[in-house]
Amino acid sequence: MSFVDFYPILTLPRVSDLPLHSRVIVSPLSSITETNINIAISKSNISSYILYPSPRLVWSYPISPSSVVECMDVKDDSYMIGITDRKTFKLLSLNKGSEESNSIKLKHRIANIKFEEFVWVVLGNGDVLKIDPASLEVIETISNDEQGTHVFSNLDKHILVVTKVSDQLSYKLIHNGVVTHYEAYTDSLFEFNDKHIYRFNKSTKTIEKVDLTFKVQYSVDLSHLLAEGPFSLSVPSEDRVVISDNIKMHLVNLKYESKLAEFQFDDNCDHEILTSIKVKGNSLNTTDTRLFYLKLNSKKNKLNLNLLNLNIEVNTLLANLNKGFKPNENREILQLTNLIDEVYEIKKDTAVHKLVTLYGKDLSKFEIQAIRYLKDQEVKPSHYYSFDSEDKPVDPQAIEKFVSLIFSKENDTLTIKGKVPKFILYYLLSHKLYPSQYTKGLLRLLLSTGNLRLLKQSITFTPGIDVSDLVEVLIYSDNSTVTNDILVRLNDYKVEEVIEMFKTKLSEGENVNGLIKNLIELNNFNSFKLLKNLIDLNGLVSSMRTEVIRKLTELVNYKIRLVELNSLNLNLVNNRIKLADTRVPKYSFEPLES
Amino acid sequence: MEWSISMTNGGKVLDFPVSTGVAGIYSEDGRYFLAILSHQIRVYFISTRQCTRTVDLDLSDCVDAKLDPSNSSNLIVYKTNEILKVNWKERLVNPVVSFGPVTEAISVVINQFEDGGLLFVSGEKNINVTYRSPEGVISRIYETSGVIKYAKSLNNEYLAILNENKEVISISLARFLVDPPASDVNDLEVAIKTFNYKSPIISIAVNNDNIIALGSVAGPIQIIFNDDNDNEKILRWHIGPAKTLHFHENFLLSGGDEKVLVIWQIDNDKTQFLPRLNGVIDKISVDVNKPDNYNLALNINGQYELLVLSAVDLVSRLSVNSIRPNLKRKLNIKNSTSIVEANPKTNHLYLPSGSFIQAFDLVKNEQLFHQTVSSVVPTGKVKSELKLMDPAVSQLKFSSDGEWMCTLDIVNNNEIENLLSQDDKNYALKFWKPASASGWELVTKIIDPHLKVQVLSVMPYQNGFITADASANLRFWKLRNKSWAVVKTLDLMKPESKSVDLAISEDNSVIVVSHDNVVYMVNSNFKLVQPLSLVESHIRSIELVGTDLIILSKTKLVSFNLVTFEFNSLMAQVAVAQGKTYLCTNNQLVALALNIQDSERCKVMLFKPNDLHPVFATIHSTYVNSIIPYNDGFLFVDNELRSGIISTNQLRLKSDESEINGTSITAAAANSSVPADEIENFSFKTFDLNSFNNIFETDNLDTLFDKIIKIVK
Repeated sequence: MSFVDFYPILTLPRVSDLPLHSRVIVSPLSSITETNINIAISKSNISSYILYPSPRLVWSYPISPSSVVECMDVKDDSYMIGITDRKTFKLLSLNKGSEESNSIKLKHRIANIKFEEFVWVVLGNGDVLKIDPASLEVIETISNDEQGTHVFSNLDKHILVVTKVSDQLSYKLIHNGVVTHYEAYTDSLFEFNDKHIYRFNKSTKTIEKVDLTFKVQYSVDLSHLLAEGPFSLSVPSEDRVVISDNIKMHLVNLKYESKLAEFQFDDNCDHEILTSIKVKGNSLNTTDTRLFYLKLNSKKNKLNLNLLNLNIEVNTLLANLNKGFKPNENREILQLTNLIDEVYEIKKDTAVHKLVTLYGKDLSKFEIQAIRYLKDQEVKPSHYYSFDSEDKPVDPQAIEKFVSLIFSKENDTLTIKGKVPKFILYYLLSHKLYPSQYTKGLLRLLLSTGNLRLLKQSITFTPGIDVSDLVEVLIYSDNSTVTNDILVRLNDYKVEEVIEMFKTKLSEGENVNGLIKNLIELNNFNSFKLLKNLIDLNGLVSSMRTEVIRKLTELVNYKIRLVELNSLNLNLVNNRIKLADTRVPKYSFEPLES
Repeated sequence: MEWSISMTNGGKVLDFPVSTGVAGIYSEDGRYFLAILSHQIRVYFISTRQCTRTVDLDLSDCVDAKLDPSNSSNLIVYKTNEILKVNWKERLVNPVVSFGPVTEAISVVINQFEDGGLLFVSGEKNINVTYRSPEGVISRIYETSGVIKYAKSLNNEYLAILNENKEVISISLARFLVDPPASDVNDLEVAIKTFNYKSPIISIAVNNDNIIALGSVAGPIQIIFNDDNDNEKILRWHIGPAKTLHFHENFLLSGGDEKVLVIWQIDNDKTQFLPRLNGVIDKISVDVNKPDNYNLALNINGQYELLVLSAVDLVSRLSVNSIRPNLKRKLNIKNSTSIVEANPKTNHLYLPSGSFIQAFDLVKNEQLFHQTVSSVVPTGKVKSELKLMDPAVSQLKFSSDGEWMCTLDIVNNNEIENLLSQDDKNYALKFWKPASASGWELVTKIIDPHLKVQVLSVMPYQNGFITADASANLRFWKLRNKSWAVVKTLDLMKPESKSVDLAISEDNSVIVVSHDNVVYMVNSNFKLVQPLSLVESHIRSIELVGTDLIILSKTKLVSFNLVTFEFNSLMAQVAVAQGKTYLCTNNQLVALALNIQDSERCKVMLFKPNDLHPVFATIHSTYVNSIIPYNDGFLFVDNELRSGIISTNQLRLKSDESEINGTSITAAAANSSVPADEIENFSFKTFDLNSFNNIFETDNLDTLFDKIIKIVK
């Protein structure tokens, strides 16, 4: 599970008239090892919490009940906070553990702060100020004519300003005072990570990764993943984003277009992702991160700041195997074109569709026609056919379709719908493309139908049969040919795996005395191989019936006699050869070194 | 996107089917050597050993070639169905000057007359010596049947024919060379000579004095002197068949499986040897225009190398090679698969064949070097020595930086001792580093890296190599303390199968190993993640393109997305009855070479991993025996030993374009109020097409440069 666990850090004081995103600011943490978190709560205080062993307040600085916190950045133990107090706007400077504060008034709302060597401040009108952190004097003003600055960041000496003009966002890149404009977008969320902007378009539900030159690296459609908004977004690591809708939080790898994990929100609550710790995420040591989110229970008017531990996985193919967003609609069954032809059409296989409709009408006709279709040759009615490699190559989905007609699957239990179509089933069980989701419990089902032929076909040929199913049938079956078939099939599995399974079965109270008796009676290589391993299993001998042990002893004695006899014969033959063979090699040679 | 195929080399070095001459002709002044390849005439300037020009034309069925006596800048090429005159000297648009049809299948040309008349031998077993006048009138000179071998003298005056009755028929054609139409057929001097030595004869030569030499299967060479008594002499040195004989002045040259050129002084039986040549000597000839050079055709695992030696000091003057993939010449050439790898660092092709590895420079179109993977006996093998099997390279791969080469060779245990272990095979995994400009140096040799199970696939992985054996067990080899050792293993222990292949994802996080019809996905810790049964028949090869797994099975080509676990629309049938199919990928495209048995051609196709509609498809004229990614495109080797490069210009253009688009930041710097020295630090200074629009509005070219500088600054 990639979302590991979560716990609340604090419950925020009840304040009215503020939208969710204005109620609290969590200063971004720079690394996972940081144990302190700095929180600015509107109309309440600026505080620092220690996260471990359990969240605890270590320091706080009260602010006036009318002050709304707009933004905050923390460097070491110094705080820079942008505050709106009714119609006045100020930049507040604090030091942790100290009661003293320093502030300057500014003409516009402070949209964002970046606290580095200097303090960079973006105002609501778009101006960017460079401020000395000690004296809070404005060193430089870069004016910007568009209103309503929304966010800003300092990216490798570049300042990115995103301004909002009547619902449209436009981007500016400021570098050494040079302003570069970019096209405008509507209704988007965005986040930065490692010199890239991740831009989520709320209406189309697509997310783009954009580099600093505003070249779109990729665009991913999340519409079949996401439910309704409100959406919130955080980018803990390159290509991996956490995006929330109104019911879930999704951890998505954009490069591979896969969903790594999801986190279900509580019902009747509003949630918003605040921030996450940015990690490299390129090795197993750098994939753990923390995410902070708000949870608002409107009924109780209770707002919690929660912390969620998550693992964002390495950005490799391995971490994304079989995690892609699957399109909802089933793919059509295709008729395979032969590459030797000049036609490369994607054709729907109508023959399979006809067969599917025939299944409900006339089962025996369906069986013949389906076998004819799959074997691609004339077939005799009521005749068993097995798959061989010369058969028609088909779309794997066609086999899956046929199998799904015969079996129904509910909660991992297979059942046969209606009558057993034994001829086609006999064929399908031997097909190498038999779908793996229909193998669990298959042997037990076939055993229960009493059709030994199908059972044996399945034991011998069906790909992907689980070793536990084989062992189970081995223990229950008293038919020696079935036992033998299973023993042969077990050669496909690792011995350790088989033994492990026997251990589990024995611990579940299964009795293998009958099986051992069968094995002794079978008296072949495979049965002895298993027998040997079974005896090796701890404590098994003590639970054997004396009758079984006696049989075993008899057998062992017999085998020892045989071995003695063979070794005697071998000695005789060897001696004879030694006497006869007085040859010397005709010649020897030595390779010349080149 | 436009793709095209360009054939890059001239095909194999030809071997004339009947003629005892090698497929190389000297120019009249003896300074140029014209090597005849199956699809090219290569002109070498002998003193610099450089190929000065090439003429491309299809010569695959060429039986003989002569310099045009009327114009020495023309080469006359005799093919089975036509005669071509090819200008090799000047650079002409169409070098084929004139050509005529062939009335009768020519086997060996005795003389080409200046006026266009032709004296030739046709047939192999039942032969006719025929004169064709310039007007095309055919006159028969001599006819005989039951012929085993025949040869002509260097001056074309004598023709010696060996027949099944152990007779040598000697014909003097001297008078026909002077004035053929006037000569009377009835005056033909025919002498029938018998000889004593009983072993079957496989080679024959006759000199200008009508001395005849016969080479036997057992080795001894018999000389029949042209005197009244038909004196005989037997030269003994060869212990294998004396495959080829040729007279030169008063010397007899012979060669065979021993890889030794033997020079006999006929008068006093003194011998001189040139041992350890690259291959079995199949043909020796001397050209009238350059009589002080010996020309040898050396057979290296079924492919030929032309070697020119100076008769004076026996020093090599020139050698002509083609690429030599490992084709089983005698078995079924149609189903041969060769191994070709391109060194990612130098782009040279490496072709293992037997125990040799040939490195070939495609740009220069020449062999770089030819080295053995293990110390083999450098001399040729005869008789029971043939049972000593040399190791055969079955795998060759380079690390992605081209700094390491990994080979696997198979050594059959020698069966001399008739031991129980005689059918055992040993495998040797070898790691090489570049030694010098020519060749690689062995760093580590591992005997039986997977015990007695055959390694079927080797792939570079991280900075090492992964090997997969017939039971789908994996070993990961890495350089440790100056030698290579196994660092990780995974034993899947499947039943042994011939269809095992490896594919590794670009980020090295997923290793896919295929066994029979199942693919197993393995993570970088060598733990099995998941088996998948995606095709119903044996898998021939697997490749990974991004997140798509491409599988070529006996019957199907499928593409499976490993992230969504869904099949892509690239899913098609590959009929069983067709010839072999080869698959390779670069990081974007899938290339498929599909040999078509009916027409003996090959369909070459390029696909995107998720689209059934090929990006490019063409029919190549012969079978292809391997295909590999090469530069931005692909390279294949066909059965004529040509290599074809599938490439596109568009690909590179496109990436250039996107770079321009991507960095089209408007240079608004000039108008801002920032000091100029700060602007210079602006690292994002790039321009789009519009940046330079204004500068062309003036017609004063003198200031143009200044204007550009202004914008750039």
